[in-house]
Amino acid sequence: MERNKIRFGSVAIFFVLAAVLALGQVQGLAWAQKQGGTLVIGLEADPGHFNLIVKPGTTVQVPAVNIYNKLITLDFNLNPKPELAKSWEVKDGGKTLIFHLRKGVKFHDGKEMTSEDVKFSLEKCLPYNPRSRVFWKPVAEKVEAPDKYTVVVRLKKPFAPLLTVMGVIFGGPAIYPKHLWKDHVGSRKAFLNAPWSKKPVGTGPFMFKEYKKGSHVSLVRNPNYWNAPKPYADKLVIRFISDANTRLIALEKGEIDYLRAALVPWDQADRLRKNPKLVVLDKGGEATGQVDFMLLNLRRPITGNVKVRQAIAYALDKNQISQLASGGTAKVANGIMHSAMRWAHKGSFDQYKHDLKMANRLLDEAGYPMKGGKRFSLTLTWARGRNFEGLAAEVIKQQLKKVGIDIKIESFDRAATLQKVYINHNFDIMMQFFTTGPDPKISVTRVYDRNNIGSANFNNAPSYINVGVQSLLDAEWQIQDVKKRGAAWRQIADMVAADAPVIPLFETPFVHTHSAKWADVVTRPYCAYCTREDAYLK
Amino acid sequence: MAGGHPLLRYTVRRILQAVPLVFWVVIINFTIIHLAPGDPAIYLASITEATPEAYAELRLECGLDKPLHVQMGIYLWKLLHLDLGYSTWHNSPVLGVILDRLPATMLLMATAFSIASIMGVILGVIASRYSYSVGDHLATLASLAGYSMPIFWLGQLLILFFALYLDWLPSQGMYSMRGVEPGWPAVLDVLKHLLLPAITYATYHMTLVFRITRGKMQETLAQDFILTAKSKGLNERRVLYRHALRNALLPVVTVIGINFAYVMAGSVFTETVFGWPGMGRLIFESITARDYPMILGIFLVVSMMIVLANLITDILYAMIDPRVAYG
Repeated sequence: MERNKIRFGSVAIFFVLAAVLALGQVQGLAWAQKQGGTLVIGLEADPGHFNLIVKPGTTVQVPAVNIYNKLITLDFNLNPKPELAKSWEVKDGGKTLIFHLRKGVKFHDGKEMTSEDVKFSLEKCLPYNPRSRVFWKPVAEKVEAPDKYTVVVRLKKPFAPLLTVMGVIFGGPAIYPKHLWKDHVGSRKAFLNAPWSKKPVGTGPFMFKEYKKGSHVSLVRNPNYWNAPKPYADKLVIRFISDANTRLIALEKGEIDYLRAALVPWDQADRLRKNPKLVVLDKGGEATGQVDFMLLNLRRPITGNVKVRQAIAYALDKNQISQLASGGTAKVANGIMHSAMRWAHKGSFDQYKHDLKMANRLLDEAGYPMKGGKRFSLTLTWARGRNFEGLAAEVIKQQLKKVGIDIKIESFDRAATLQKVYINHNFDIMMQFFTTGPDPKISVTRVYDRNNIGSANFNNAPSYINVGVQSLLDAEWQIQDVKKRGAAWRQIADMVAADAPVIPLFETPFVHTHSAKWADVVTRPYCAYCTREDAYLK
Repeated sequence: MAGGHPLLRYTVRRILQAVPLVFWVVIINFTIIHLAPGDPAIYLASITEATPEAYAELRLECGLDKPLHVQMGIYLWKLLHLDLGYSTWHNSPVLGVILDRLPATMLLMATAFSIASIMGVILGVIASRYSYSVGDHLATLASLAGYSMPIFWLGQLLILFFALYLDWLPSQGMYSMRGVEPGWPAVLDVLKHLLLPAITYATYHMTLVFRITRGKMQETLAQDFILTAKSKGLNERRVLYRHALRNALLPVVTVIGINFAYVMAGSVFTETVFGWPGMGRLIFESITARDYPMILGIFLVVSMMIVLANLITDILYAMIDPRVAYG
């Protein structure tokens, strides 16, 4: 008895000790990521409102992704991870998706988020997302809410990219509270003009506090966040600064804490890396996968000739272009999508090794002989605002001069360039920066799809038609097996590279830069669209 | 309008005269803006790739589907009802957005304008008193530099020196983002943010006022009545400020009045460089986005402000120089 008591006592002591140690571990973690501080993010323009479904552009998303949640999120390898849905099942060969929701998640106004809100957001709100025309409207059949915490999405046919798309906020649905929005979904205009566009209420880590037009928007920590103890920052301020130099100085001076890669001048990245007060990252854009391309207009006689296009691809020294345009920060691009989408990417354009002899031979064969050091003239168009494209244009001009192609560079502001290229088809070669992620069906197909030739931004501007490519594009998105789907995309890449309606130049470097006082500022592969719930003051 | 104070009559007449002027300004602005390639629907659609249907929908929403003269008619009709239209980009009525931004611009302009006018006149008078001295030459040289320096460049130099190198002042914005106590600390915070843009804004204008004042003062000081005043034994200060300055001030006021328009234009650069949340930056952002109603609204407000500034200038004439009468 006595012995038993002692034994029991020592066991008890052991457990208590173990518990204390374990607690210490947990608390140790919690101490490393203590709550507090104001994280200030620089943004290039005033968003105007925070309705991220109707305007899924950067300026709206940067504040709004912190106010709302999606069902799922993506890790850096683009695999879906739980967010509001704690798990999901794919059934009927991909035609049915069942989401099991977290319990006890509350909107900022205190009401619980349930399957009704998800059903409402998918059925009534998501159709106002301009991208939903690609991934939702054509495939969705109906959404059911069999019980409070289960959502069933039924599709007309299997749609392999859907889970990935639902994991990114610029395509997928943010969950809006039905009780606030239900009378504001009658039309796009009503949806846009709802009071909640300007005073957003979500389930996200931060709550809307104040919107000072032209200056900033401030958000405060959601004390009831389902993913406690996140968020760590007390306050999140998004500050609008339109001048690039001013933004950079504000970051160096510590007035703002974070600029995403698109707002960091790439040629300054090396200098910023040497600044001990700053941290320059090299991850956090995998899902957006931005690549700079040259688009060649197949409607024009010269660029309509495949040999001319191939010759241009051979004549370019892409290492030099990337070196001079980005200060060596950007990686040379060799495929129709960003190399971060490893399952589908193929560097098919590597077949065009820098080779002036080959370029000259192809141009001769195409019927454009060299006369006095010149064969023909082409116009190269780029939109102002992305200086690296202007620099690249100058380098391309010099390089193509060597094979007798005289390049005339023209540049206009964004609206004028879009009209000229995409609406009027009035261009020879255009420099275009494309998002190619998170799934090629969403962001790559548009450029090569014959059904997407017309008058709309970022469509098949080259007017490229290839029957083989088309049949693969029409079928690939129904393939559930990732390996097989990836093989289809590699085949597409080979065929496109042979025809060269576009020439990839370089991939966007992920040089997101933040103050060294903060850690975990970028924890998602979305560039601008990353939640800041993980960011903590060191 | 018979009877009444002549000043009041004059003011009312001038305002009535301004109505057709503003009308034509609106017509010309409307035409020019629509001549530029690109439109608000294209820019809105550029946020994400859109189908032709989406683009057509946006055009409809922005009212771009109608012929240009009909669009202009609709705009003018709305204007008659004091409706400046709706900005699709900002998702708000134009007037609301302008009124949100106006106070910041007014604060910056009023500060810069006061610094420029007062300092310009004082420095001009002092320089004329010590004409062709070393100090005068230096001041003239400095004013030439200030006059020729582009605003955005000067702004960036000031930021680099005072904000980044010395770290005395904030580099951008109107408020500190990391929480300032309300009350006096908040006022002080805005003043700290105001200093650099106000100096940038004021420099060009100040040098102009300085140069005109100095030139006109030199001319006036050489005239006989100044000699008379001096020989009567009046002290120099009195001669300088009461007799000479009053006579020299008329062209200075003209320059200040005319310059109001340029100051307005300068606000685009200053506010962009300093991230100042005012109307200047709104112009820049709206033109980029081809936000037609917003651009027209801003131009309208600016032209009305210029008309008002001219009116005030003319009224000031008579107060300074009794020989000027309202006819």
